[in-house]
This record gives sequence, structure tokens and C-alpha cells, in this order.
Amino acid sequence: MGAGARWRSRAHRIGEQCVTWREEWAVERDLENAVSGRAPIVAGPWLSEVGYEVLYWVPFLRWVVAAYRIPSSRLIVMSRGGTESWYGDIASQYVEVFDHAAPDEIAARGGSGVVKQRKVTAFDEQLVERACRTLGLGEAVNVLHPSLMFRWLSPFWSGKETLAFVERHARHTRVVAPGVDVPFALPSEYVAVKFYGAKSLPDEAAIRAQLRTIVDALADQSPIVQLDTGLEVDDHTDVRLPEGPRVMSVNGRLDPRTNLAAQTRIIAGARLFVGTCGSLAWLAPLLGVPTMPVFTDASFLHAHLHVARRVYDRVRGGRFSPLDLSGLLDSGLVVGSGAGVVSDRVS
Amino acid sequence: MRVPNVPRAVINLAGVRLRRAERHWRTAERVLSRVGRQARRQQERLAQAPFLARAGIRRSCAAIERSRKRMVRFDDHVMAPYRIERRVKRTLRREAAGSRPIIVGPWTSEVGYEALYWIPFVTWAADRYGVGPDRVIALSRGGTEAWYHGVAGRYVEIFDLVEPAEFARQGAARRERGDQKQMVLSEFDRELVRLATSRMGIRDAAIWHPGLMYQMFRAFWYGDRSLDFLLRHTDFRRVQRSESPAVLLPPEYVAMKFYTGPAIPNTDANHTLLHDLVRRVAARTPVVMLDTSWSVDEHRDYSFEQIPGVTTLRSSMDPKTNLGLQTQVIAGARQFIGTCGGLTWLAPLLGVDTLAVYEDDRYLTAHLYVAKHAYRRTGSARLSTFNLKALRAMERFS
Repeated sequence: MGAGARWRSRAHRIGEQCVTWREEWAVERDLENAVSGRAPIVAGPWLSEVGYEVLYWVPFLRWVVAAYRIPSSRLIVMSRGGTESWYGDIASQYVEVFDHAAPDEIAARGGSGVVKQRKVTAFDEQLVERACRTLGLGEAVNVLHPSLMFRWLSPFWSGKETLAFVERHARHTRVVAPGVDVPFALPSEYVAVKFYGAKSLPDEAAIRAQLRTIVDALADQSPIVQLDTGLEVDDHTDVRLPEGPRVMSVNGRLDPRTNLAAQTRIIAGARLFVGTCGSLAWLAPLLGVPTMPVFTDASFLHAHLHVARRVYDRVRGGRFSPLDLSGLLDSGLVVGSGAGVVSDRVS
Repeated sequence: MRVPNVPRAVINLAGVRLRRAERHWRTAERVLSRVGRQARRQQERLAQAPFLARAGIRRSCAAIERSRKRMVRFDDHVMAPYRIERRVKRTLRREAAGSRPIIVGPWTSEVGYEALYWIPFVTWAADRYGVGPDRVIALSRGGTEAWYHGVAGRYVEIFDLVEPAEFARQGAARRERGDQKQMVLSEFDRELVRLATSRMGIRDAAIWHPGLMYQMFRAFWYGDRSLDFLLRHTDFRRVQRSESPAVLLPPEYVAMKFYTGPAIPNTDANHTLLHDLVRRVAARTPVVMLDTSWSVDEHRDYSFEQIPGVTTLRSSMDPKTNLGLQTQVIAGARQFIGTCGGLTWLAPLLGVDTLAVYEDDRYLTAHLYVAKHAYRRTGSARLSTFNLKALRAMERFS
């Protein structure tokens, strides 16, 4: 590389770094505005993916509360699916989004391709307004919107910030299972399974066959509770594996308002959680449950796996053992069938 | 003219006076009560003064301590890595100045760090400081000349300078000193450089020691530097496939190499699982095992005897050329399967799909993070992982 090119590259890099810093400072300012004064703070509404909520949003809120010394009485968390227990004691109140919007409305938002809340939308503002009206909070309310977290941590996801940056601005802790009732009797011992189609685990025939083999192998040893809720509130669709004598399904049995709380309860009681790498697979270790997230394409997972491995170890969470199926499928092998745990794929 | 009502006026005036007096009385009462309250508060304050003073001091001390810790943290996590970066870059620049040959090495630590960090770092540094391959002499072991293609014009084999047993002894001594990696230029490293230069008839050579790379990237491994930082100071390039190995190989095969270490501890359970894996792969495609009968570091190769379809090249492996031979064998393979570490970091750069097997990823997370990004950027072959712990979790949930 010539000297000129080197200087151009250096200038470009410095420019990029300045943009990153400017964005960080802007977020910091917005964050300070959101927590200033004595008015109640609505944290949310959280409508994005479960995985980001568990791995980043809740720990980020916990850090905000500690860093800005916000009493829990000021904070009102707004999320969906009954996730109150995930927030522990950082907020005094929990507002259920499904009390203010129908699941169809949320699904329509997810279906329109707006999954991550990088901006405050009119729909978010409406939800906050409806919640404030119900709670009788009036106009004087601060909003701590998830876009702040997305903007704050995006330099890390793009490789421009360090893991230490995430650790400095997020406080991960173990999660306690909620005391909700599960609308059916659970076996005394079981494995919780949740597979859904995603970029990391596409819903394709070969992969579906492999997942089926895994579930069969697990069912040989223990009853299986499949967390295929049938609720579609984002761009992911549950992969339903056939029910059997030892495979039970929650399909159609969970209320949208409490579906995540019930799933959390079910996972917390399981001996093992196996599922698509994402969503509740990030939560299970925080509940102390050994977890086996499955994927075939890690392109969008590297940064999250990097954080997860570090965090679960530190909070002494359940064992986190990611299973990448791509190499095995390339080798014509499957996991979990016949004698031994690795065997030949029957094509 | 009306006659004034004197009695009424007197009564009115008296009323006014009375109300005023009453108001004054109330004001006095209020003032007195305020003074009383203030006095009481003052008294309370005086009574609590030592406690309040202690609490104030405690708060101030805590604030000072908090600030001190913040400063220390800032120094540790931000300033120290920055200082190290400056120092390393100064050293690289100083050594690159002039026209002396530059010894790149001696590389005496793990294969994985050499493939994943050291060579991309040297490639970046050579480009950054304008050092051509004609000035660079790679000093490494095991016949890894091909890895330095395009960066180093010359290569010196460490095992031509010292016996493998001596090399292993020095490595063990370094680890015992607590220097798992080559953080500093040791006496043994100096001796190797001296032997290399005298062998090549060079009187004066600069050194780019592996410690520079270790110091530079340690902050990344600990999470204090970003991936972007690491990628800015490395230049990943596909490794050129060299000529075919001088050993008889099946026309199509899978290359495999498993060794013990933190990634796959030496346990019976792991041995059984890996044996099963090798057997099943060999039942479909011939397998060429890259195990050696000796070891120059703390890792030991797993060997799988008498599995149909498995060929081992143990008898063809020579310490001086073993890594070169293994590289050639991997380059010709359909797939490479091995312990996550060592040659699994190199295989994708050779264009070979790789399955990296591990049981414990505690020390691998940062490396996997880098590898997957770097391979994607260079258009290398696919690196997938296979977690034995996940299998075990399925096997018995414990």
C-alpha cells in the first residue's frame, strides 16, 4: 500500500471513528434526557425479538437504572407476552402490550419488515399513550425507548466497539421463573424444545429431518415439551415436529398475553432446552437450564455468541453448548440417531 | 351635618386595635414557633453532627474510591492497550527502518496462533511499513514455509538449528515460567536468531518478534479491543496450495487430526466419541489421519488404530517437515475435521471446508469470532464447529 493510500485509509478510519463517537454521544444525551427529572419513565414498548430483549435490552435497562440511580418506583416496563419476571426488580410496574394492542397489530408490524426498533414509530408512541392513559399518568412521562439500546450497541454488533463496551453498559443477571400457571400438566421431568425457521436455521427438508432425529433421540430418554405456540408475532414461524406419545405440544394452549411467561416457566422446569439459536435459547441459560442452541448458519450470530459465552460463564448460568449442524450435514452425518450420538444420514 | 357616633367610632377603633394586636400576637407566635423549631433542628443537628459528618466523609470516600476505580479501569482498559499499541508500532517501525533483513520469529508457540494471527499480522506489518519479501526471513518450525508465501522471501527451519527434544524442553521451561505465549524475547529466542543469522551469513538483522503480536492482540482476547481493531492490524490472505505431497493418498479423502488440550481434554468419553466419529466418516470416505508419534508442546495427538478406511501418515512425518506435509495433505482433502485450534484455523484459508471439534469453548470464543469474520472477508472455505458437549447433553442431560 502506498503512502497516499495509507493516509486516505487512515483518514477514512478516523472519520468512521468520529461518526461512531458522535452517535454514541448523541445516544448518551438522549438517554440523559430520557431519565432526567422526576417524572415516571416508561421503558419500552419492547416489540422486537425475544433474543435482543434477553441478551441486551434487560441488561441495558439494569445498567441504566444503576448508572443513573433511578429508583424502581419511577420505572414502568412495557413489553409483551408476560415477560415481567425477566425484568426482576428494576421496575415497579409492568405494562402488557397485548392489553393495548391486538396480536394481529403486532404481527402486522413484524410482517412489514420492521423487526428491530431502531426508531420511535407512531405505533410505539400510540402504545405508550394508551398505557399512560390507562395508568392515569398524564402528559409528564419520560420514554426510554428500545431504539436507544439498538443505537448504543450497534457499534459492537458491527465490530467497531469492544466486548468490554457491552459489559460496561449492560448488567446481566440470572432470571427467576415467574409463578404463572401452565395450562396443562407437565411431566415431572422433561426436555423443552423450541425450533423455528430463521436465517440461522432455515426451515428446509434436510434440516427438518435432522431436527426430527434430535427430538426422537431426546424423546427416547425423556418426555418432550415442544414450545410451538402457533403465535406469529414476528418474522419467525415455529417448526412443528409431529407429536408422539412422548412429545407434547403447547400449540393453541397459550394465551398471547402470558405466552412468554408460560414458556419461561416451562423452560425453567426442564432438564434441558434445545432450540433454534436465538430467542428463548438466550434466556434458558439465565434460568440455570443447560441449553443446546442449534444453527446451521452463524453469519448473524457471531457477536451474540461471543457475548453469550462470556456472560453465561460469569453469571454461572446453565451450560450453553451451541450445536452447529452445517459441518455434520456436509459430512453426511446426523446427530442423535441409532447407536452412539453421531450416525450416518440416510438419504 | 350628621352628629358623629362617638361610641361606635371608639368601638371600631378598639376592634381595629384588637385585631392588629391579635395579628401581631399570631405573628409572634409563628416566629417563636419557627425559632423553636429551628432551635430544635439545630439541637438535633448538633446531636447528630458526628454521625452526619461520618456519613458525609463516608460518602466522599466512596465517591473518591469510585472515581479512583474508574480511573484505574479506564487506564487498564483504554489507555494501557493504546500505550501498548503505540509501543508495538514504534518497535515495528524502528526495526523496519533501513535495509537490514528482518527475522520474523522465531515462532515457537502454538500452530493456531501462528496461522490465525501471526502470519496475517506480519503480512499487515510488512505492507504497513513497506518491507518487501526480499528483506523478510521467516523463522519457524515444521516446514511451514508455504504459509509465509508472499511475505517472506526466505525461510529458516528451527529444527535445522536445534534438536526437537531441545526445542520441546525450552518450550516446557517457558511455560513453567508462566509465559504460555511468547510474550517476550527469551534467551532461547535470541539463540535461535543468532543461529539463523550465522547460518545465513547475515551480520546484522532486525527482529519482528511474535511477542509484538501477542502484546497487540491480548487486549482483543480480553475484550478491551474491538474486532475492527484486530482486522485493521491483520491482513488475511488465502494460502497458496503447494505441490502434492510425496506420500500415497486416496484420490478423495477427508483429512482428520485430533489432539488433546483445553478444547478436547484427554478423557475416555472424548476418545470414544471421536473414535465413533472417525469410524463413521471412514465408512463413507477414506480418512487420512495426520497424527504424529511425537510432540513438541503440551498437546498430544489422539491416534485411532485399525479402523477400516483410515490411513495414518505417522511413518512419513518428520519433525522438520511435518506441518508442511500436513498442509499439503489438507489442501488436497475434501474436508478437514480436527480439534478446534491448530490446523483448523489454516484449512479454510487453503480452501478446504473445515469442521472444528471441541468440548470446551472457553478459550475459543474470541478466536471463533475472528476466524468466522476473516474467512468470510477473504472468501475462504467454510468453518463449522462441532460441540461434543452438546452431544453429551443429548446423551444423558448431565
